[in-house]
Amino acid sequence: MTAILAREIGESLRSRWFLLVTGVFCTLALGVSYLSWSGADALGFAGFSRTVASLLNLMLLFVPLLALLVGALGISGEREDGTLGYVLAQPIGRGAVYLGKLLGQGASLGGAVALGLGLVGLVIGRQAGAEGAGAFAVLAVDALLLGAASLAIGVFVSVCAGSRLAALVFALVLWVLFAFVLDFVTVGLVIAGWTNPGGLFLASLANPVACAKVLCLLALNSKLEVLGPAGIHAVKTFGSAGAAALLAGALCAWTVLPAWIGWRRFRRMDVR
Amino acid sequence: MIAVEHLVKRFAGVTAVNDISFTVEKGEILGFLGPNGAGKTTTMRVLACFFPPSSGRVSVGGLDVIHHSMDVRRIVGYMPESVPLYPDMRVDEYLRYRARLKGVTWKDQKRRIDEVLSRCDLHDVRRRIVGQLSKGFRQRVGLAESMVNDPALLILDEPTIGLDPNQIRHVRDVVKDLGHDHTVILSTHILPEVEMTCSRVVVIHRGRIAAADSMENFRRGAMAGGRIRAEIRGPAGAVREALAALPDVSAVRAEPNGDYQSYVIEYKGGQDLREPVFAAAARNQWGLRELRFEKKTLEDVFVSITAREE
Repeated sequence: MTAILAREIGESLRSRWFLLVTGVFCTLALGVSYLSWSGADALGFAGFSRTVASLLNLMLLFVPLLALLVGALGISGEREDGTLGYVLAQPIGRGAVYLGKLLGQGASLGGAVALGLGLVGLVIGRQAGAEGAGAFAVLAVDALLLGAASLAIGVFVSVCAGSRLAALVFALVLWVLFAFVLDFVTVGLVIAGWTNPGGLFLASLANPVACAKVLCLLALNSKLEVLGPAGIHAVKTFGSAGAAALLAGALCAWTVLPAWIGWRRFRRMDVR
Repeated sequence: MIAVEHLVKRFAGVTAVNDISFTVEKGEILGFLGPNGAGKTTTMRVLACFFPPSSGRVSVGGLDVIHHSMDVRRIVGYMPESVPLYPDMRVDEYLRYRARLKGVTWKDQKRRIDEVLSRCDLHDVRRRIVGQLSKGFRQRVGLAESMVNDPALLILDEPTIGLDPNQIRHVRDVVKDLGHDHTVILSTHILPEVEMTCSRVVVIHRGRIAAADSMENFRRGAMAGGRIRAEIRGPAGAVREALAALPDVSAVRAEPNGDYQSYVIEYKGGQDLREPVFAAAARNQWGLRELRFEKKTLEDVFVSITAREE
C-alpha cells in the first residue's frame, strides 16, 4: 500500500497541481485579507478574525471543488488508461490499492490546503498580529474535514463512473449541488413558509458544504444571529459543543460512508 | 508449469475462450498464435490473474489461479500488448515502483533493476521520462517491468509490436535467453519469430484450440511438404493432369502467363518434386521456363488452420 500511496503523492508533486493549488489558495487568501479593509478606506492585511470571515466563503467553494475533482479523476482515469488493471494484476490486494489511492490523494490534498493556509497564517500573523489565530486554526481544520468528505465522495464517483469524462461531469454536478443548489432550495423553502428549524438543520447535515459552513460559523461566533435558523436550532437543542460535535461527526460520516460504499463497489469492479 | 483444463471465459454473454485445455512444461517457450480476437489475450490474462476464469481449472506452478491468486501473481511476469505506463515517471522510478508492488525487497531492488535495464538495453534512458520515449523504448520498459521480480513464468503479449528490425532481433534474443531458466508464453503475429524462438506452438481460433504441438512435430507434420512453382508451355489440360498424377500432390493451380502457364503444385511428404516435374515436361516435350521449390512455412499452416476453421 505504501508504494501506491507514495506514487499518488509523487504524482501530485510531479503534475504540479499541488503547487498550483497551494499558490492559488495563498494568493486568493492573501488578496482577501489585504482587501478586507478596502471598504474602510484603508489597505493592508486584516487580522485573523476579519480574514477568516472572508476566507470561509472562498474555502467553501474552492476546497470541495478541488477535492471532488481529484477524487473523481483518480480511479476512473487509471481504469481508462489501463494502468489500474495492470496494478490489480500484481501481488497486492484490492484493499491496499484502494486505501493507498485514497490516503495518497488525501495526503496530497491535505498537504496543499495546510501549506496554503499555513503560509497565509504566517504572513497575516507577521503583519497583523496573532489575535484571532484560534479562529484561523478552526477554519483550517474545517477545510481539512470538508476536503476529506469531498475527496471520499469524489472517489466514490470515480469508482461508479464508466469513464474519466463521466466522472468529471458527475463531480461538477455534485459540486454545484452542494455549493449552490441545496442552499438555494433551503432559502426557497424558508421563503415559501417552511420554517421548521429542525428540518433545516437535518437538511444542513445532508450537505457537507453546509455542515462545514455552520461548523465554522459556530466556532467563530457564538452569536445566534449569524448562524441562521438551522444553527440556532442546533445550539438550542444540543448546546454549542454538542452542535459542533454533531456537525464534525456529520463531516466524518460524509467521509467514511462514501469511501466505504466506494470500496464495496471497487472490490467487485470488473477491470479488464 | 501450467495446466489449463476446460477453461471457459465469458464477458457479458460473449464467450471469449471456449473449453480449452493445454499444458506447458517448465523451461518451455510456447508460441501462442491466432488471429485477432481469437482469445489469446483473454487466456493469457487469466493466467496472469487479471481476471478469473468463468469455469475450468487453471494452475501455474501447481497453484490454482483462483484459490492462490496472490502466490501465482508473485511467480508470473505479464507484458500486455499495449503496455500501460505512467507517462510522468522516469524509467528507473517506474521500475522501482513496480518492483515494490511485486514485493521485491529493498535490498534486491537495485540489483534487479540494473539487471533488467541491462537485459533490455535501457541503461541509456533510465533517467528519461517514460512519456517522452519512443514506442519501441516503451515496449522495452514493459518487458523490463515484467521481468523485474525474476518470475518463473513470463507471459509476453506481442512484445515486438512497434519495434524496428534491430529491436525485434534484440527482443528475440532476450526471449531465447530467458528460455534457458524461465518458462515463457509468447504471443505474436510475426510467425518466423515463433519458428525461431519457440519449442511448442498452440494455435487458438474462435476461442478454441485449433492446433497444438511441438515445433519439431509441426515441422515434420503440418509444415512437411511444400509447393513448386513451374512455368510450362503445353496443352493446359494435359499438363495439369500430368502434374496432378505425381506422387503426394494435393492441389494444382494454374494461371495464364503469355505463351506459358504458371502452375503452383502443392504436395505433402518429404520428397522434392522438382525432378519428376522436369521429367514429365521433358517426356511430353513441353517448354519449361521456371522450376522453383518453396518450403511450407508456419504462416501457410496458420492460414490453412484458421481458414479451415472459418
